[in-house]
Amino acid sequence: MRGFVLAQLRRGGGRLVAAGIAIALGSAFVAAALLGSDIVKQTAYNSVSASFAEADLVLTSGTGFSPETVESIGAVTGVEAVSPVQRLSFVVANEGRSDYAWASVTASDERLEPATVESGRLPGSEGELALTASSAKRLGLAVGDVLTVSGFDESEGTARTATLVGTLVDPTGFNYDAPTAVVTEALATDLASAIGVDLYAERALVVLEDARAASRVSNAIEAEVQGVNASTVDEAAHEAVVHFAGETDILTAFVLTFAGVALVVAAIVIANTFQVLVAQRAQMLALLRCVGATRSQVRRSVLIEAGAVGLVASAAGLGLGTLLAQTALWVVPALDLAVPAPSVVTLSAATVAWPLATGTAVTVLAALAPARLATRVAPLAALRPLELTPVRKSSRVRLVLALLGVVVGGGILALATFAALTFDQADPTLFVLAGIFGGAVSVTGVLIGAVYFVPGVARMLGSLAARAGGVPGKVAAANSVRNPRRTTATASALLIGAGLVTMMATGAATARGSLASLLDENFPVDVAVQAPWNASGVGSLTATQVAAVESTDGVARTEPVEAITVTVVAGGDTWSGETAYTASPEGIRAVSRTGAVELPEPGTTAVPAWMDVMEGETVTVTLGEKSVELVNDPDVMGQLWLAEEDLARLGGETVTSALWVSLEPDADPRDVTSNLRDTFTELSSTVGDPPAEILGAAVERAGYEEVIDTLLAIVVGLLGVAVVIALVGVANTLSLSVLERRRESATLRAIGLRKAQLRQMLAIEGVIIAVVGAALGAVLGIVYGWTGSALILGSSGGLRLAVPWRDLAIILAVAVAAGLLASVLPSRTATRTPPVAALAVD
Amino acid sequence: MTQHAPDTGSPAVRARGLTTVYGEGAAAVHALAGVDVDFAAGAFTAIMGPSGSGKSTLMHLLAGLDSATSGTVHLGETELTKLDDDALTLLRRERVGFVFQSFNLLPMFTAEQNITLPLELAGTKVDTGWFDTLVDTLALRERLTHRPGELSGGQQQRVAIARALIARPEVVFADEPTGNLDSRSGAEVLSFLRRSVRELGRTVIMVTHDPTAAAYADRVVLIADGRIAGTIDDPTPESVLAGLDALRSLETPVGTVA
Ligand SMILES: Nc1ncnc2c1ncn2[C@@H]1O[C@H](COP(=O)(O)OP(=O)(O)OP(=O)(O)O)[C@@H](O)[C@H]1O
Ligand SMILES: [Mg+2]
Repeated sequence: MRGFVLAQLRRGGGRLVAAGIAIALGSAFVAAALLGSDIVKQTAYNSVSASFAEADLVLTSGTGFSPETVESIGAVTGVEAVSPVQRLSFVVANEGRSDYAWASVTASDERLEPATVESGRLPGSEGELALTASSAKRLGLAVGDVLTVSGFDESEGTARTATLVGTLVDPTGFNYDAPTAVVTEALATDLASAIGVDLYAERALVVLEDARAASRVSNAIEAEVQGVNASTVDEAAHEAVVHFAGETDILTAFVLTFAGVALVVAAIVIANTFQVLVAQRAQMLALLRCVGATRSQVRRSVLIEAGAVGLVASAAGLGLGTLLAQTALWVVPALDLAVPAPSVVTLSAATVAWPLATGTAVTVLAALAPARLATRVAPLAALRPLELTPVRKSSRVRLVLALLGVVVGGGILALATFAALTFDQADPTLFVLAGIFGGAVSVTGVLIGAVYFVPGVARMLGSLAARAGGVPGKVAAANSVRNPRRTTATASALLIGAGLVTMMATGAATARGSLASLLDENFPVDVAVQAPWNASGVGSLTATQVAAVESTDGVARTEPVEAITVTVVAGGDTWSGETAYTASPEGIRAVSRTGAVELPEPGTTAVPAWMDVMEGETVTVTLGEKSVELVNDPDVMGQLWLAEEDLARLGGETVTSALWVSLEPDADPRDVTSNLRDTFTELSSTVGDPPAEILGAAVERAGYEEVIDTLLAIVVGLLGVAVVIALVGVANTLSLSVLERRRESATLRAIGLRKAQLRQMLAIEGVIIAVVGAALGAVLGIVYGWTGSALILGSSGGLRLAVPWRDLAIILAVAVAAGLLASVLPSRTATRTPPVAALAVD
Repeated sequence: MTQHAPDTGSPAVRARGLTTVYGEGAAAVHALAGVDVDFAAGAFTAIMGPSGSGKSTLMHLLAGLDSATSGTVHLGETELTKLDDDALTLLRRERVGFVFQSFNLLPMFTAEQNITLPLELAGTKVDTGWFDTLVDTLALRERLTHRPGELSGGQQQRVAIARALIARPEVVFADEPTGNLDSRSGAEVLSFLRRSVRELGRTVIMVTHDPTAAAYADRVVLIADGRIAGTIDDPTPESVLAGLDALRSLETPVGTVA
């Protein structure tokens, strides 16, 4: 039997190439995900261990490291140097600009200094300080300049001056604990006592006389110094990474889910391939059975073949995945991300074993059903001519399972959705989980039952093709439904990919629409530019800022909001330092999104709810000597908004605290927002105007949309692998069918089908299969996308179901293109068949 | 298109110096070694010869299915050896019909669809009169909506013949058309091929091993070792057998035959 398997592999190996590619892509995905996760961990490990400088031991203590403790550590035999890592946070400022510093004190031994100097030197004598290069740049400082360091509240007399003696290399993204400043111990102690905190060291680093004695010395330290824990640098770094690894593992699991989808799709392609191969070999298998092969030998021959293909393909996939990861590592340094990523991929047992094991296992599992089919080939079949493989009627079990899945799963999903929409106060997690379960069950049902509706849809599409495509169209249409199962399996693989992509796109479109409608309710304007608050209360926008906003591209109209600080008296309580607002009623209406914003009528206002003032109660708003009496009406706009004339009666000088901005209808809110931000940053650094806050529907929307689009892009990218595998599946089915129909193609050629027409025929068939899969996937994707959106967003109200037309068009276009592309190689095989082959008797 | 072309003597197919060599050097096989032969229009010709003598090779060349190493083939006025693949395809579509040993019907199409396929390829309308004539003569009326899988071998071959004739080709080539049929179905098929020559004015060239089948033809061309070895006019099974025996005695080494 082994001889038979080998002979089959040698003879028909080419037929397994596509299946092999499918599996290789799937296991490459697994390998890349695992390697990526390893690389991230390795990088984290590198950056953590970098913060230990050249230490041999890392000591921790719950009570900190006092000078006495440090001294007794230094006295332990084998310890050469010890330096506590003393930390302090403070504010560094220069000419009105300030930055936050998470500083450490210069290490007592330079081997134990984690900070790396970029220019200048580390602080040595009193009043010296080094800052990260980026912080120095933000503050506009050069080495040698003098700056102010202080506690967070400058007013309390904590300010000191210090000289910048050096800049530090910026810490990497992974090492959030790395110091952004280094100060001398004297300055640190001085500042700490001024601020009123103790200098505290959570850790101390130790250099040993002999690094090999690490475990002995660490035991000695733990024994001789109370409350100190010693670990090697390696142990300490590992411990720190474990913390971080938890997050990496979640990310890896997320990515692996998509690898799982890709493997499921690959499994469908493989099962299909073996099904076809078994059908094509039926006569040979029958012959084997005739001459005495047992059923289990036949089964084994198929499974061994699958195992061999799976193993070889997975190994190729592992190679591909490794290459991918390595390419990423080659690219990283060029991106200048300043992360200490390793320069080469290190393969571990797990990163090698998992892709190989999953790839091989999936292949063998997928071949189980075809193997069973092979055992069903009767020895008698050898004696029967086998022109057209009889199409087996689908079993009743399949129909029952499919219906069960669809009805039960769909029922659960529908109930969960209904519940999520009805009980909108409850936490939706339970409903979402139930919905996911129901969705998975119903999708399984749909896939099991695909054979009942995919051929029908293919036939419909085929009749279109037959009408439009002449003989090639007719033959292609007929061919595409000749093996309903084969077509179904091929289209199903694509259905999964296209369905998931559509689902995500639909979810994203719905989320976008729903958020937009929510934002319409919550934000009356596209963009509000608000001056920052300052010590004296409400801030004011400068004339330059107002002018800059007005002239920003995409801004249609601006309207100033005037504010003034007042005192509010109501029901015997007095609140001073409150801010009252007003604006021109016409202007505000013109810039509002709905055009329906109404300022309070003269004599009314709404006070903040926390003031606990009843509706209809009188509120007195006072400014100096003057005051107005207003009726509290919680239904009118805003908090402490007054009619223009009411505020005028107070007579104070108002400031422009905000600008309400409406955008041009065709302006991209993201561009406008980022332009505004740039303008303010620039004004802040040139003129010194404090940057204003940018709020509003457009801004929120831009933010949400960016998140949604990024997530969608990532998910679609991850699903892309599954889609590619499914397309390989289409090409695979076509090539296997072409081999099977050699005689037919030759006959058609003999009776007058041109080569181009033959190519056209296969292209049409490819397009029919691909479009059926994509179209059905799109329909299901929309349904599930809507249900999913209802589940997740339903409770927040304002659900707006949307159809991502543009994305659907892209999916269909990709399907058509892929169908055409999938037919290229099979076409070459087919057109190479000479018409003479029609006369061959095999 | 030729209509009921009378037997004028001008050949429908003409081959001159046709040579086909497979392989190279010592392993070279001369499947055809300079064949000069004419096939009269409006006649039913059988090509016969021992296995491996080059019958199929010759027929492929005559039908424009394959290209020769050297020599020329004319179909009417057209020199096939000069045409490219697309031109040959068009020629096969319009001027040549085929009947294969294993029928080669398209399994997913009905008998009727199979018959009209060449016309659809050419984009011409079905001549219903001619279609009815063919269907009735071949007794296929009841079977038109059936698929090949539901037809007997003889019925399938009759469908194949109808398909070969539907476009009124100048020549119909048949390679062992009765090879897969029992003798009764074979006789049916052969008598129809003869009727299509006698009554419908077609030209048929058939390769066969069977002397009884060859006896349906007007003329038998004998071929041996890639060369024309003689012809038999108005053959009978006996005369064909005798001719073949003569060929065999030529082939066998001198002295073994009395
Ligand atoms: N593709 C090929 N490559 C090499 N040799 C070939 C090829 N086709 C045919 N031959 C050889 O050419 C010779 C003539 O073959 P051909 O098929 O024409 O014979 P035939 O008369 O049709 O025989 P049969 O009666 O068995 O069908 C044979 O010797 C055959 O081996
Ligand atoms: Mg032959």
